[in-house]
Amino acid sequence: MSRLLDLANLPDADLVARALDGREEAYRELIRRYERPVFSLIYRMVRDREQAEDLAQETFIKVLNNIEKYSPEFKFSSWILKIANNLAIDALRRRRLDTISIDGAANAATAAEVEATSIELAGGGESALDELANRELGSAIEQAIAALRPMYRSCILMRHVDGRSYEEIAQLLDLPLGTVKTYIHRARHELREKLERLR
Amino acid sequence: MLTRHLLPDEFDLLLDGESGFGVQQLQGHLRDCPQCREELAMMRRFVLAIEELPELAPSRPMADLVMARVNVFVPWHVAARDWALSWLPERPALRIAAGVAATGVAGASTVALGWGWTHRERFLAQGWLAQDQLRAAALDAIGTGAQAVLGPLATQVPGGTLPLAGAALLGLGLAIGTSVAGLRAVAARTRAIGG
Repeated sequence: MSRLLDLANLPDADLVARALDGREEAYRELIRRYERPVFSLIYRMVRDREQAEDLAQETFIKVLNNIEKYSPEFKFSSWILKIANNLAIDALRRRRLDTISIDGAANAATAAEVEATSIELAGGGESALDELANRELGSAIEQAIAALRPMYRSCILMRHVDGRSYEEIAQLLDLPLGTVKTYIHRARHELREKLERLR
Repeated sequence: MLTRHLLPDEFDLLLDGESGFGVQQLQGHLRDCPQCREELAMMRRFVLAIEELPELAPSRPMADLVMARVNVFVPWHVAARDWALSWLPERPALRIAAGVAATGVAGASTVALGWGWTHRERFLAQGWLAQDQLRAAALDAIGTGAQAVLGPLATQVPGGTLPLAGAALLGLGLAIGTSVAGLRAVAARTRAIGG
C-alpha cells in the first residue's frame, strides 16, 4: 500500500523511468493518473462514450507500448494528450454519420472532409430555448463545444479545460502559434454566439 | 486614450492576462467604459464556466484492460538486480542481522585467505607430498590388481611395468564396456523409433 502511495507522489518522468525498468505498477500509475484527462478530452471530441472509452484505451496501449520513444524534454501529459487528440481527430474523420452541424474541420479542404469532420449534436427535436431551460450552463457549454469544428474544439479544450499555454498547444497539435491563437479566438467567438442564442 | 470600444482581439488579450505593450491603454479604456467593462466581465464568466467543466471518468478503471495489451519488458540488468534483492529479508531487523552476518563471513574469509597466502609455501609442499603418496598408492593398487588377473603370467612381465600393464588392461576393459553399452543404447533407440 505504501509503495502505491509512493508512486502516486512521483513525478511523471520518474514513473516513466520505472516503466522503462519493466515495473508494471508504474504503468498502472500512469494509467490511473491520466485516464480521466485522456477520456475527458476524447469524449468531448467524439461525444460518444463507448467510442471514447475504446479510443482512450487505444491511446494508453499506443503510449505504453512505445514508452521507450518518450523524450523527457517534453511533458508526458503533452505527449499522451497529443496522441489522444490525434486518435480522436482520426475517429472523427472516419465517422460517417448524418449530422446536424454544417461545420467541418478548420483545415478541411473538400466537402467530403467537412462532412467527415463534423459532429452530431444530441438534439431530440427540442428548440434551443427548451434545451437551455432544461439544462444547466455547464451542459449548454458542453453542447456548444461539441458543435465547434474539431480543431477549434481541441484548441479550446486544451486552453481552458487543461489550462495549457498557446505555445504548448501549438507544439501539441503541430500548428503554428498564430494559427492556434486564431483558432482559440474564433472558438471563443463561436461559443459566445451559440450561448447567447440559447440565452 | 481610446475613443472607441474594444475590438474582439483586444478582449482576447485581456482575457489571456497579457501585460505587453498596449494593454495598459486597453485597461485605461475599461476604467472609463462601463459597456466594455460589462462585456469583459461576461466573457470572463463564460471562460470560467469552461474552465470549471468537470473531468469525466470512464465507466470503469482502464488499468486491467490496457495492461492486458501492453508488453512489459524487463531489461536483464533489472532482472538480475531484482533476483539479488529477492535474497534480502523483508524485515529491517533481519536485514541488519543479514548485513552483520555477511560482513562477518566476508571478514573471516579475508583473514583466512591472507593467512593462506602467507603460508602458501608450506601448503604447496604438503600438496606435492600428498600427490606423490596418492600416485604411489594408485600404482600399487593397479599392480596388485594386474597380478591377480594375470596370475602366473605376471612373472613374465619385466619388473616395474606391471602397473602400466594393469592400467592398460583397465583401460581396455572400460573401452569394451562403454562400446557395448553404447551399442545397446543405439539398438534400443532404433527399436523404439521403428515400433
